[in-house]
Amino acid sequence: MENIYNECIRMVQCMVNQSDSLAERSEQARTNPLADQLKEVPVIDMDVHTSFRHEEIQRDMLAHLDDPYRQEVEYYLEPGHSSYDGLYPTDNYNRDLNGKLPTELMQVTDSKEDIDDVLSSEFHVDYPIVNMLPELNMVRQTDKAVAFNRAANNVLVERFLDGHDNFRGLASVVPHDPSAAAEEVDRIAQEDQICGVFINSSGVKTPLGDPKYDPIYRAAEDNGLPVVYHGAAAPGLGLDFPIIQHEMQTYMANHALGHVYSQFLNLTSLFENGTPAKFPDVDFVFQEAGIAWLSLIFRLNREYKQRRSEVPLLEKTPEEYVRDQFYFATQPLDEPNDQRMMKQLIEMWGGDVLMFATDHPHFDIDNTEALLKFMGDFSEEERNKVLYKNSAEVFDIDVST
Amino acid sequence: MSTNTHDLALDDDEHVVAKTDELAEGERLIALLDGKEIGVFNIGGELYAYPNWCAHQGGPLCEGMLSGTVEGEFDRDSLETELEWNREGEILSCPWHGWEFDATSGDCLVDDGCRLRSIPVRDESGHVVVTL
Repeated sequence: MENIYNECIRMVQCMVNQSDSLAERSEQARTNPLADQLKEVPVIDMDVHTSFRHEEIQRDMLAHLDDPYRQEVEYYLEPGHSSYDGLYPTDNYNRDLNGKLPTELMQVTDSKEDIDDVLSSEFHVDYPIVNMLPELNMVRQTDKAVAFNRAANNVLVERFLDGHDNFRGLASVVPHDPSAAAEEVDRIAQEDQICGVFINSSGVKTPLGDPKYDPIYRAAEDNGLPVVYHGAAAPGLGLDFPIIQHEMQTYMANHALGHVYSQFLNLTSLFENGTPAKFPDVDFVFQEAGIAWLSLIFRLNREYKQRRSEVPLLEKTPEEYVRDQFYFATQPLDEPNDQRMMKQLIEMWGGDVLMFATDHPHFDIDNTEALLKFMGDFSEEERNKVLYKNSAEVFDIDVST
Repeated sequence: MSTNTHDLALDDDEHVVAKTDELAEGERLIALLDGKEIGVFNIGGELYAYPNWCAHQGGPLCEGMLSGTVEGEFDRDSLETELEWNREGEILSCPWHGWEFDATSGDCLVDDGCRLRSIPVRDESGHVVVTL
């Protein structure tokens, strides 16, 4: 418990890059007029992770797995097994910056202590939308990937959502067997607090607009759920973009390229296949690549206008679909040297498509106030769309309670 | 220009660009009228005329390929997409960037905000007459 508290402190220190205490930090926040405003606004954070591979969560998984996979997890939980490298695929990247910056600023296993207490006090978040981030795309056996994914969704509901009325969850699917994924969407959508379908964008092999995935989109549409694409420098990125994995030297390069590359690939695939036209009631939500990469939309406009007959299901420009059916998490905030340019980027998409997200507890976490700093002279309505109204609408969250 | 054209009572802004039988179905010509290039088309026996200028970046639109286009239909139950080649001879594609236009209406297929300006053209006594 004390350890967790210390980690909270350290995380906050990382955020502000100074050594003031939590109390002093809160004092600073109170002097920020925008922070005052945040007390009144029901902020929704649409990208919160758990520490899926933490022993406690893996112990929870046991109750939701049949043999042989229950036995497999038990085996890896035995003393003497220091890692799950045989259990889950990894990418072998050293993310921890020689120990200076751990991948996870804290371990997230408890909704109250590790999510609610941290996000509500320091980040003004009222409604966290949690995903398990099980990263199963590169699991080789289809039945194992499907079984573990299903178990992870059950753990999400039982451990993180039950009893936390302000929490919502994104249910994962794996790309191996789209019909099984559609069945999982139908199953898990019965849970009141499940508000979206979550797919890790890297390691899907076939890009996610391919018609073979249409059963997933149809199930999402039937259940009134958005589909959320989580950009990640995760296992599988080396398959999607082997040069990044094998020829570039640093995690700096991997992390800079991985998220946008995988989102480029999948968003383009959606347009290539006309997916938003096929499923007009599905909202498509992209996380963790910031917003500067949305220049791709303008490039897609141009390609569409030049080559419309290759994509005949599209009835309007990609940008029009984006402004109607697509949403993008603000995190990680891009960092032009001239901060006015960041404001211009936010203005370009603004209330139409942006949603606030922290990415708690990962090392590229964003603070609510850091986003608001750029939106000081936006209208209150525009700010509120980004802070919660877009998420409330897409994820169907009643923020009046 | 046809020797018979002086039999037509034309206003100053009316121009004979061809004999009608010189512009067969599926054919087109580019006329230079008052310093402006005008594309004149015979599509299915109907005459159409447009400026030879693409609203996108100013390409010589009326010199582009006149053909059909692909249209698609998605069936949500079967999840099958059926593609069809339709509108043969009616879709004009700009030779610079491929923007598609419906040559029978001037509508742009790729940009709602863009439309070809239709120029009045008619068949009068066997002559194709364009009014600028």
